[in-house]
Amino acid sequence: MEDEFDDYQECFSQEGILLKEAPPSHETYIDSIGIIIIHESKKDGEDLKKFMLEWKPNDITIDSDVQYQEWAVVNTVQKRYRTLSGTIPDPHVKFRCLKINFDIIKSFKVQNKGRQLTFYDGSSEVLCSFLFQCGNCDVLVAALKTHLRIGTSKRDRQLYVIYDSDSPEYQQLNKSFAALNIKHDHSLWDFVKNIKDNSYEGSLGAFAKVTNIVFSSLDGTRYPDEITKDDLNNSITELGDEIVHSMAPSLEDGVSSAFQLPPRKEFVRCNPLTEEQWDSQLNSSGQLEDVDDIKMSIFKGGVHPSIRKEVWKFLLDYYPWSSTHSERQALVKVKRDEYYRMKLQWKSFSKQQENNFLDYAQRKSLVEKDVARTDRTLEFYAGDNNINLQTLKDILMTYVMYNFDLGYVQGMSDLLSPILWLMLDECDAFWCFVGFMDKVMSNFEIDQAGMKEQLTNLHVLLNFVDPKLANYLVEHECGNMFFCFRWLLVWFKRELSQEDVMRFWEVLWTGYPCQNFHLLVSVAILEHERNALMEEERGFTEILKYINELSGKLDISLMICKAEGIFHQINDSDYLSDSVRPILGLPVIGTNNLDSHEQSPFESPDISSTGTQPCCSVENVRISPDEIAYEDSIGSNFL
Amino acid sequence: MAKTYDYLFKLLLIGDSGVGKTCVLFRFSEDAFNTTFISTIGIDFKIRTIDLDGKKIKLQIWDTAGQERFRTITTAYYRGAMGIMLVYDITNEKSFENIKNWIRNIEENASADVEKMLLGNKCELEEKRQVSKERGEQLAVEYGIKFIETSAKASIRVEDAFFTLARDIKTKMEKKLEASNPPKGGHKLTPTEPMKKPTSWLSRCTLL
Repeated sequence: MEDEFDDYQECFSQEGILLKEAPPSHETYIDSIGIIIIHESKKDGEDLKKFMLEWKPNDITIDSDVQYQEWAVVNTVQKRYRTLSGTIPDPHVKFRCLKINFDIIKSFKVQNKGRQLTFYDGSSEVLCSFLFQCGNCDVLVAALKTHLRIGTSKRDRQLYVIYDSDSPEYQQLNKSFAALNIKHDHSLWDFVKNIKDNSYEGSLGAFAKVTNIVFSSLDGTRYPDEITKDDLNNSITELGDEIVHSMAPSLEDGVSSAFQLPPRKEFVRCNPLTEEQWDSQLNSSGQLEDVDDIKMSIFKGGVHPSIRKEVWKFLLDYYPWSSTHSERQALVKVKRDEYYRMKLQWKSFSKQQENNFLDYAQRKSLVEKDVARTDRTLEFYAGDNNINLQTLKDILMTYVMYNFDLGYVQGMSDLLSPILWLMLDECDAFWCFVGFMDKVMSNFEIDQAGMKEQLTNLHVLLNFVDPKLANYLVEHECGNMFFCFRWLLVWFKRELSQEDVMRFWEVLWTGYPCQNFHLLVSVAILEHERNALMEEERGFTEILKYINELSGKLDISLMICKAEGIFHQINDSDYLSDSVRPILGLPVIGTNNLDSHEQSPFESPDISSTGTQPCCSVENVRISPDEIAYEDSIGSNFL
Repeated sequence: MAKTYDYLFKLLLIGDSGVGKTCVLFRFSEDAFNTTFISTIGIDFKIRTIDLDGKKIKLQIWDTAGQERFRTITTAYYRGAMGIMLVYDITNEKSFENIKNWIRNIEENASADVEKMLLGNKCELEEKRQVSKERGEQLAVEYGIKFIETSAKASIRVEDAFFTLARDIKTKMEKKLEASNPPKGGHKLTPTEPMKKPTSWLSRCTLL
C-alpha cells in the first residue's frame, strides 16, 4: 500500500471534514476534523486510472499559499491547509491517514442534505462516513463523477453506485453498444460533432437516424441487461435535450416545432389579498380555512398593506398556518420571553468580557457599521440618534446570540429593515427575521456554496429559456453570473423601492408556483434585457455596469408575470425540461414514454430528490451526471 | 468609434468593511460625499478619466465588499488589477491591523507586479484617531509602498492618492515597454502583439 501510494497524485481535496465512521484501525480519529483527498494513479500508460480516497486529520497538515480559484472556498475561521503529499517526514503519519482504494468502494450515499457522505464496500458494509463541516459534499461528489463511472440507484436516489471497469454491468454496456453497431456508423459521430458545432439541420437528420436505430432495436429485441437499455434511453433523452438547447436559434426561425418549449402564456397581476378576504378565511377559533387558497392569492397579487403586518407573521413561519387565535397568543408570550432572554445575554456583557471575546466583538463591530448605513434615506431610519436604528441593532445583535456560528453577514440588515419598518415591534420583527433567514440561510454561509449554487442554477435555467443569451454570457466571460450576485444575495432589496421589495418578498415567501421562483424572475429580467446585454459585444465590465444600473428601474410586477409564464413553459413541456425541473423543486417526468421496460436499480435521469444537483455544465454543453457513464462507456470524446 | 483615452488602468479598492472605500471612490469619481451611504454588496466600479503628463488615462476603479465572507467573489477581481488601494480607517485599530492580511490576500491573488498604495482614511476625525500617522508610514515602508492619509468626507488628498497611484503605474509601464521594445526601430507596441509575460498586468493594458 505504501509503495502504491507513491504512484498516486492528488487530484482533489476538500477541508473541514469530520470523520464519523471508520474501520477499527482509525476509530481513535472519529469526530476529528480533517481533509479528504482523492488521488489518481500517475501511470500514463494505463487505460484506466486508479483512484484512492484519503482522509487525513488536520494536525498533520501545514499552511500553504492559497492557489487562485474563482470560487475558492476561503475559510475565514480556520486556516487553509494543504497536504504534505509524498514527502511526509513524520513516520506516524501513514498510520493516521485513512486510505481506501476505489477498487474496494462500491457505492456511496449522500445524506442530511449533502452534509454526510458514507462509502460502502461490495457487501454494503460501511467503510467510512464523513460529515461536511463547511458546505456540503456536492463538490466532492461532482469530482468523483468526473473521475469514476457512477450511476444513481433508482430505489434510493441518494445512493450512488460506482461501476467497476471490469464489472459485468460495464462490460455489458460496452458490448451492447458494439451490438448496436453504431460505433462504425459515421453519422453518429457526425451527429455528435454537430451537437457541439451547433448546426441544426445536420444534427437533426443524424438524430433521426440514431433514434431510428436505437428505438427500432429497443422495440424489436429485449436486451439481456436492463441497465444498458436504461442508460441508453437516458442518454438519448439527454442528447435530444442538448439539441433543443444548441439549436434554439434555429428553432426561433421556425425550422422545427418538435423540440420547442410550449408557447408562453400571458399572465397579469391580481389585486392584493384584502382584509375582507383574509377575515372570511378565519373560522371562529381564528384558524385559516384554506391555506393554499390564501397563498395562491398572495402569489397572484400580494397582500394589502392594511393586513400585511399580520399576514407576514404567517408567511415568515412565526405563526403556524394551522394555529388558532389563542395558540398564537400563547406563542407570542413564549417567544417574547425567549427573545428578551437572548437579548439580555449580550446586553449584560461587561466591557472586559467583550474584550476577552474577540469573535463576539467582531460581530458587534460589523453590525454597528452596517446599521449605520441601512436604509438611511427612509424617514423611519433617518437622522442622528434614531431610536429605530438602535432597535435594528438590538435585533441583529440578538440574532448573533441566536445563531452565533452564522453571526452577522453583510446583507442581513437589508433583509431586516423592511420587516422592522412594518412590524414596529422589536420582538415580532426578530422572529419574522428568523423566519426569513431560515429561507435564505445558505446565501450567507461561510463557504458561499449556496450563492455559488444559485448562480450556477440561474445559468442552467437561462440556458433552457434563452440559450442564445446564455451562450453569449459564457463567451463573454460572464458564464459565472457574478453580475447577478447582489440580486440573489438580498432578493433584489437593492434594486427595488421599499414598497416593491415588500410586495416581491411576500410573493416569493408563498413558495408558489415553485421553489427558487426568484431565479425565474432573474431569468425573466435577463431575457427582457437581452438585446441591451448583447449589444456592441458587451463583456463582463459593461454587463456588470448595465445590471448594477438597473437598480431602481425594474418593473417587478411585469417581471413576476413573465417569470410565471416561464414557469408554465417549463412545467408544461415534456421530459426535455427534466434537466431544469429539479432546480424548481418539480418532479422529473422521466422517459417512461419511450418504452415499457421493467424498473432497473440504475435508471437515472432523476436527480430531483435533493433539488440541489442540477446538470453540470462543461463548455456550456450540459450533461446529466448519469450521461457521464454513457460517454465513458462508448469511449466518446466529443466533450 | 475613437477612443477618448491613451491608457486604461484597472484599480481596486480593498480593506475592511466600513473603512470608507465607497466614499473614497465617490469623492474621486463624483467629487461628492453622502452620509447615507450603503454597504457594498458584490462588486461595482466607477470610471474617471484623468490627464497625466499629457496622456489621457481612463481609471476604472473597482469597489468591493469588505467582509471576509465575500472574498470568494472579490478575489476573482484581483487578477486584472494594475493598482490596488489598501484602505484602513485611522479611527479603527483593527482595520489597520488587518492591512497585513489584505496584503497577503493580494500576494495570493493578484499579479506580482501590481502597484500598491496604503490609504489611512477618515483623517478629519482627529479626536477619534487610534492609528498614528507614523505607524501608517512605518507599515508602508515595511512593504515598500506609498502611504497617504485621506478624508473622503472633508475631501483631503483623495485626488493626490489616485493621481500618485496612476502615475506610478504609468511610470512602471513605460519603463517596461521601453525595455521590451527598444525605441531604435520606431516600433510601437500594439495590443495585438502579445507581451512576453502573460501573467503581468501589462498584457492587459490598452495602448493606442
